[in-house]
Amino acid sequence: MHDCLKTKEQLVDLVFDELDQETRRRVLLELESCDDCQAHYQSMVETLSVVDRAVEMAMPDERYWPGYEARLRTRMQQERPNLIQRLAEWLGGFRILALKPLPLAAGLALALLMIGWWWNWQRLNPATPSPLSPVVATKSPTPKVETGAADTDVAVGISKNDKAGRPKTRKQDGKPLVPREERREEIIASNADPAVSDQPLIANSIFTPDAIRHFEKSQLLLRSFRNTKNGSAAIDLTYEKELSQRLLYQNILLRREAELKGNLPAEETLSDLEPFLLDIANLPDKPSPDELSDIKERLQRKEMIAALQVYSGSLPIFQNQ
Amino acid sequence: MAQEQDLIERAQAGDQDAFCFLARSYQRRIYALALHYTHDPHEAEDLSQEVWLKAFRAIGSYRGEAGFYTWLRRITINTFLNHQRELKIMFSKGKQAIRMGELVSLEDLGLAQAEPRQMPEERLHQQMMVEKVMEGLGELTPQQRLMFLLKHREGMTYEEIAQSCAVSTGTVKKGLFRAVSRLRELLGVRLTAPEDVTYAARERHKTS
Repeated sequence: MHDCLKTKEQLVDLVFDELDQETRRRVLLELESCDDCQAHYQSMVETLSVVDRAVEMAMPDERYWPGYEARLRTRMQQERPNLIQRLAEWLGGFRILALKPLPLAAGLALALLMIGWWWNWQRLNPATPSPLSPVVATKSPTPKVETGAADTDVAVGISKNDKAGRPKTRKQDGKPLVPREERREEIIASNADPAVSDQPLIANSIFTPDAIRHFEKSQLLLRSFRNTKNGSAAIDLTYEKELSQRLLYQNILLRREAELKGNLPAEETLSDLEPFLLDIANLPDKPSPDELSDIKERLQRKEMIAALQVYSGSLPIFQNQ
Repeated sequence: MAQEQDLIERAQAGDQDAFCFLARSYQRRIYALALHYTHDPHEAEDLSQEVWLKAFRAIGSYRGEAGFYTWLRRITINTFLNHQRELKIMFSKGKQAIRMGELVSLEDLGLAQAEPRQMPEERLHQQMMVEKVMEGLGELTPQQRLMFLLKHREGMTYEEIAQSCAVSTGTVKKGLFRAVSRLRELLGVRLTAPEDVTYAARERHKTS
């Protein structure tokens, strides 16, 4: 039994060649039996044909392309090569070594021998400073961790009898609960100092501190947005919208900066984040549940919050949440 | 292929000539995508060159896991999406920065230098068709336009488009259906019985 509605729904798949062989054959048979569906199909094919021919006609002729290339060259020359390119250029100078593999292999073997000798010498004489290195202070830069309860309170800067009027922190299992803001600052500071941090994060080497802070703020916003209740009709997102707009402008600036520096990972992450910020900023003050769930669904599919959590370098903050 | 690989390696070492030579193989294709997308030749040049500049900046990170064109297309899509967002922001701020759907002139479209043997009537007819198509493309939303050209020009699958645009495959399908329906309506392609002469058929008849 021919169903016009169902057939018409499949026309777009047929036109764009998205049907498997069997379905395609069946739809074409359906078209033969219905003039209306056939007319729809023909009109779609003709529309695409008209578009194709118009774009072909609008394409500039051969004389246009040398000028296009010249203008592109000018724009390229105005750009300063980025760090990676300069490094690649510099390393290119070593290519000559590839032409003389024997001296290169000998040099490498000698270097390995020297490293091995030095390492062995260090192992056998741990107390004596190396003759190759200058004498340096041996005091470790890592602060000593005190374990006493009173000391712990001092270490995090919050006393049980806080005279500044700040609320006292609660304790669980002997560990004080430090406000999230302070913990975040602490963790960011420790990540910035590789001598203090035991786990240097890869994100720190790819993203600038500004970008990492931006990811962190965005992550908090998206997390807060994701946790809003869909069913509630009277939900007010004015604050989230304002914050999203601010973050959006910051995102654009950071993305452009990443583009200029040729930092592709940063650019891609910021580009992925931008649609979410834009969509939240453009939401009505009291959005419908459908509008919210659409954004939330995309957030989940893109795993945006998880990505930001990793990139923000603040993973420990949320471990207990 | 080996020649392309050699050009890529030279471009990665900062050789601009090698990069331009590489660009020459794909510049028409990227320009056509940009023309589809912006429906304005000046903007198409600007946007397509933006793609090349980005590719030049990032060529050091190309590792050859995917084909060069696949990598380039990813940059193209990102550039288009960023362009789309910037336009959205401009619109939301009330700045009419672009001329959506505005008719473009014959000279702008490069048709002024068309075949000199063409009859004026024929050229006028072509110009009208091009204007109409460009106007029609301008009437689509940027997202519909991007989906349409990724499907129709690039032959990407629904899944690939969905992944690139961060939407579901259902949204892609709906977007494409709406795009084609809207274009059909704007181009005046009528829903007629197969034996009737339609717009495109008339065109073919006239040019043959």
